[in-house]
Amino acid sequence: MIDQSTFEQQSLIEDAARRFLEKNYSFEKRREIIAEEPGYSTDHWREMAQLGWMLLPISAEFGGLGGSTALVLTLLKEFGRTLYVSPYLASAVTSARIIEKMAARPVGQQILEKIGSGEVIVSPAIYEPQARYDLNNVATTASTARGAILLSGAKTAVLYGNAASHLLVLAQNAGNHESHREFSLHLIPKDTEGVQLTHYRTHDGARASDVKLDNVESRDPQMIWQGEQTLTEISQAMNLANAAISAELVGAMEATLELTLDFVKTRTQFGQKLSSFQSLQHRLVDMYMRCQMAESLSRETARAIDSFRGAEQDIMVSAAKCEIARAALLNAEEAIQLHGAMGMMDEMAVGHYLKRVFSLSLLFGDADYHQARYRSLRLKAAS
Amino acid sequence: MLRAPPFNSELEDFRHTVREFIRVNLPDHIRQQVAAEKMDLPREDQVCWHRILRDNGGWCCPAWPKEHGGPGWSDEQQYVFEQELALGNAPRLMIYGVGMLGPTLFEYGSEQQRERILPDILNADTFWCQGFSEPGSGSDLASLNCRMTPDGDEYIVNGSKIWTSEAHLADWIFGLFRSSVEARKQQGITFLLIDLASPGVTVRPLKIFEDTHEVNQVFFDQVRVPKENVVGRLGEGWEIGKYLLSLERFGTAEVSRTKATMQRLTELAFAEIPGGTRLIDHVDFAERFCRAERALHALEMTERRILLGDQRAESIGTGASMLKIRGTEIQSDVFRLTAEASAHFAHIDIPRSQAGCHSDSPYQPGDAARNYFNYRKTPIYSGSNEIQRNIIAKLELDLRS
Repeated sequence: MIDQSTFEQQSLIEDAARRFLEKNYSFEKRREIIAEEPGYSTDHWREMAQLGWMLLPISAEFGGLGGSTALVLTLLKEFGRTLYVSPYLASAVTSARIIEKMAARPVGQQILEKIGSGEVIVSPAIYEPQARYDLNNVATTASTARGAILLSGAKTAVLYGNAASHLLVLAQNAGNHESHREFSLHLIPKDTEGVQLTHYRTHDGARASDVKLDNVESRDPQMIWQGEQTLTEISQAMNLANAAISAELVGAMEATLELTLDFVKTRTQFGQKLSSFQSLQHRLVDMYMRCQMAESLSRETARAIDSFRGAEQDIMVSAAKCEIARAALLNAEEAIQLHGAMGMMDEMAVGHYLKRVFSLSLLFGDADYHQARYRSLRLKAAS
Repeated sequence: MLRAPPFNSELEDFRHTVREFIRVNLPDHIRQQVAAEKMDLPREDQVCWHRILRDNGGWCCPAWPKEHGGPGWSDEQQYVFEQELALGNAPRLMIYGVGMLGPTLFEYGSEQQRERILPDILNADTFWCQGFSEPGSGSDLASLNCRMTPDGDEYIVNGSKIWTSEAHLADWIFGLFRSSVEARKQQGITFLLIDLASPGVTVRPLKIFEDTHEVNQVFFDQVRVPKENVVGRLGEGWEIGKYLLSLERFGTAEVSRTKATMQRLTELAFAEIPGGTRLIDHVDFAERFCRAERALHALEMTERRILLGDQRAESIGTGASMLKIRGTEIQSDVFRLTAEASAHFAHIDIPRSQAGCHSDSPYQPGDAARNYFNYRKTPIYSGSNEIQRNIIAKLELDLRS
């Protein structure tokens, strides 16, 4: 089980995050922040960097705090509770972990320190419009012409592309045969010629971008990484990202349950509190039990990331993401229903939890994707 | 594969010792019955296994302290022991005497009662059953009305208890009886021990639709019971009953039992079918199979969190209700999957003794469908899942009716 020092560290970060968010990120404050560009508070971003939160997921070897995954997830769960949106997941969690996996230490450390200080924001440009959640489906090409490496293609759901200083672009090397494909990863300053971004708001109030790459030159050889393991390493980094999302979902589930309990204990109909109706009580109990099961699975992802590699890690993360995403969506739907018509009001938080949970559940593979991944891993494990 | 984390090496060594002991000492004919998911074994088989465990340091009573003949184990050891029993297809421990009455007597019994009763439980000389439900008092247990009226040094008991598992095997019954009528129905209930050989006791078998005899109705007609058979104080029965129900901690979610069932289902699912397709290659089946696996893992980790986690408490409170609800729901799903796994062959209705002998089948359904029917009891018994939801609503979520 959890050892005592991890437990204490978790309590510390949980308290710190909860205090910070309660003070700075009320539902009303959040509403103002997401209404304006860039869709997150740059003041909060700086403060979080000063608190060291962006160094937390980065290993000590690369100049970070090297927090255990359990600690990182504790922070993300608090984000989930308050619907906090920012480039944190994209930059400090996902991109940082990909770079850690791919880059040699001196170069990697250089970039990661800047991510850790918040001055550089790197957004992964991995997924493509035709690919759904399949990491193997990469149409973006890296080709060599007159000594330059040029990237062309399209990327989608690039989180906070508006705020990013750099994009981390996955490409397939031109001239590959179907049987032997090579992939490469490029860290590209966003203002490089040929990078064209279309920004949009997502349903949860966050921001994302579609990216077109038209003969974009990948200039710095130190910022190009490739090798046979490229996709595997990215996939492992995505495991951390999905564990982080799962923790956020659990936080959102907890908060959704709490605000629904508050509502049914105060709202009166037929001369009695809604909380006195057994049919509603039992639905709330089911919501509560789904929260508990989700919490257990979320803790398991932390263990999987820190103790396993390969299939054993993959299967645990997919199990958790699939189950937690479904549970979180169901709980949010139930929460709205239990609020009645009030649940449809923009001024009530509950509907915004559904929107956030919906967005999170789609990121880096939805429940169906992870269910299928689980099944295929399970079949391989047995044969 | 989803696997729970191992314990420290000392506990894992302990696990190995337990596993090896079961492998070597569990008689085959008992192992086979449990592997076929039979829950209520014949008395002689239960006694046989109980005594094998007793002779090995009191393992038959894992929650009992050493002074009463138990092994004096830690929570972790009890947890591991229960897991290994399930995974090794060993019978469930004797729940009524060992799991319920023993610890109740540690807490509420008199010295004289402990001396008189505990050794017979430890040695499996006396077989106990539990009398809670009545024909008019199911989920509304506190409305019970089986009466005990004082008469000199005795009580006279009239009324009946129903759904009494193993009453046809038992020598004694413990239960809750109405000693007086008070303003609150939870008052005036007394915890009483009755010898089933007493004149006026009749045990009538009730056959369940799955075709087995597990439960009974027990009738009391002017049954005389010595006053010394009252446990605790007169009218304290409801408290004692609640305490007794909170005792069972390890294994109530049936996680390890369901894991053992899941293991058998896995073998079915991955078996090659000559001229056909493996079950696991049918996508819809595979999805349900995988979902059950994931749900079971979530339950297992939740159980560990509640029983052995950092917030472990003396009483697991509403955790017990949650484990019971989810445990029995998942178990039901797995039993249905197992029953459906054999396709056409699942609906062949042959006696239990001959099940599995249908030689033309590429599948061996065994008792799969019967077990599916039989295990419909688990979401109903020991406080229906609806009652468990009421408990969580009230005590955990503070929702008032």
